[in-house]
Amino acid sequence: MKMVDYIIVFAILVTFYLIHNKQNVLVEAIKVNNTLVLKAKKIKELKSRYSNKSIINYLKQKSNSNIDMPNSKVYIFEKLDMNGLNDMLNKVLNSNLKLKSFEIIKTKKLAKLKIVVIK
Amino acid sequence: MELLFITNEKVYGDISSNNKVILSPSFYWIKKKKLKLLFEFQATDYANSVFEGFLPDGEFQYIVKKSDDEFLFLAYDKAAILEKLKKLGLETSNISSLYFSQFELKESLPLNVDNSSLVIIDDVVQIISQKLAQNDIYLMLPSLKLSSTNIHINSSVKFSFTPFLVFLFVLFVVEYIAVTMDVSSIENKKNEIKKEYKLPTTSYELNSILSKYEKQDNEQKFIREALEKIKYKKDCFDIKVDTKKMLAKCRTKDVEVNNR
Repeated sequence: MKMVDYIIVFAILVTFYLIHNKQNVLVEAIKVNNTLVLKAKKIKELKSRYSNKSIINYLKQKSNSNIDMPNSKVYIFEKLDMNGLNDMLNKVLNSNLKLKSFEIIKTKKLAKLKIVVIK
Repeated sequence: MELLFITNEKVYGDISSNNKVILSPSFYWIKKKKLKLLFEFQATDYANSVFEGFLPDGEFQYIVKKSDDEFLFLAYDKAAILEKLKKLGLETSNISSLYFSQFELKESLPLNVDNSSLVIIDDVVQIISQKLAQNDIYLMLPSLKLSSTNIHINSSVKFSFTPFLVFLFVLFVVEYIAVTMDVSSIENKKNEIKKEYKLPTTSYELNSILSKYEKQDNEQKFIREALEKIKYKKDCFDIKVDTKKMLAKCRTKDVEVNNR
């Protein structure tokens, strides 16, 4: 091997080292991108999972009274029979309402339901 | 590449840096022998004994050729030949291969070599000190087609690593450029994703947003699960559920507990 061959071999080794480093950077970048996409999709999905839009008018109509608070809205349903209570609870359960709390006070035949929804 | 003819005294042809050399009969020994063998390689094993007591001191190698029912044995001392050529002004580094008159000139004889002649006697090429032929070795050499029977000395094609290494280096540089382009393409993609999903610039902010939504999701799941569990409990009459806890007052069949 001539001197020039040794120089080229050295250049090859340096380039190989640089390629190796760059490939590591590439793998890291791909990982970061994949994570970013997953997180972005999750945020998008969670963001759209809860919304008060679809059922809020129904609650307004059915409730006996509602109170507007700064960050929430309270709906009160009075004198509900057991079927009415169950219907309302099912409706709330299957909805995408942003619930803050609810309260049920039962007497022998009737019940009072208070639902607090996050605005 | 020059073709030379060499006798013990003289070089015929112009010496260059790379020469093919035809040796005159004075550089080798020939014997013919009838053997009951089929192939040349089988006869090679007998070459040593064929020349026994016939050759001077030296390290001899042999070439065997079969013609009809006879085997032709050729003995030569490579080191002695090269030494002799050196004395005639032909360096070993300038010789690519050695050929024998026996195999190269047989078809072209007789030929004049100054005041001697190359002739064929009993199928063996020999040199005699008489000018017999009309053709001269000088005129014949340029048009001579050589056989494959020769002694290889130096290869005219010198193997060099350089082109291969240069090719490898270019390949690596191309690979480096390709990987660099991939990295920048991934970076661009990252920016596009951030734009598309309207994400913040730092991963800290992103994680904070994600954890906010995850917390909200967990709270909503909790409140729904609590609601699911409690809704069919007929004996519970005072139920309070929020995003963190559930409280319920329930009756039991135990009167004492109910009265507490």
